[in-house]
Amino acid sequence: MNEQLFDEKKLKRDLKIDARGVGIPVGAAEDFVERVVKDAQKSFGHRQIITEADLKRAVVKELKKYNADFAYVYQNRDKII
Amino acid sequence: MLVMIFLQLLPGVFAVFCHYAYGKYSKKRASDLGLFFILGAETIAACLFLSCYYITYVLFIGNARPETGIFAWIAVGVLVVLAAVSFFFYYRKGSGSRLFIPRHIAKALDENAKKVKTRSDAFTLGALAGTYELAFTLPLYIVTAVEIMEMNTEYFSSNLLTVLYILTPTVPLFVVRWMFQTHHNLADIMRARVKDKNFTRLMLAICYITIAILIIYHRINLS
Repeated sequence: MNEQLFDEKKLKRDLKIDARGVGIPVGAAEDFVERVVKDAQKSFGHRQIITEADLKRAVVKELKKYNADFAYVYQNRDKII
Repeated sequence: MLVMIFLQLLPGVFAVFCHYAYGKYSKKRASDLGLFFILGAETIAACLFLSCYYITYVLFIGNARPETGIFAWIAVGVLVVLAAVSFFFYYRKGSGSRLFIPRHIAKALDENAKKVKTRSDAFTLGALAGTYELAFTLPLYIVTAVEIMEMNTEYFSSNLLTVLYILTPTVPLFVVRWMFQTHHNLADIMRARVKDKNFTRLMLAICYITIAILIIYHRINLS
């Protein structure tokens, strides 16, 4: 199995690009992404190891609270082409 | 020409590319990069079509004329196979609008779309995406090249038709670009693609079959 460290910066960067891509303004996107990542991390509690699918599920769950389009794009990003 | 409009790889890659470009850069820069992507796709379509035109010209100008029937039967066979393939395998099973291309290529296209920084990157990505759909476009290029070459120019100039044929694959790209410019986003495009999945593959199959029937009708003497 391919284990790797969770790269919070990369996740935030990717999420910010997606947020801007779906039309959320820069300032709002940054605030929004910070909150989503924080809440997603909280949902894991003290777990040390999580799968990519777990992470994606948690992020999508948080995104759905704020913006349906953003959540849809993040959830289906590997199902477009 | 209609088949080209229903092919989904190029618009799919372009939509992903636009999403990342609008996410990273200003609207003006993203729109500019989009134009170079379209130019890349256009250039590769022109190169491929004109190459096919030249090859068929060299092959058929000699003794092997297309109306001998062998060419026509091969073309009909390929088109029928393409109709079946596009109906059953153009989209992968499951949710989303995943296409026939191998997954590592789809991932590479997505990664490349994300990394685009300059106009030349955008141009190259457009050209690259155009070549991955060659399995579905090459037979059409060959058939069309033969038809245009042998066309009665009473109604249309063959040059005009060639230019039109080369421009057609980029029509969906301009639609996608226009959608992004008018505040639609990738989610809207993805939902539309998923919704129209069955319609698209049905139309592709119908288009290929229609071309095959036209070839049988005009080129093969069944009596």
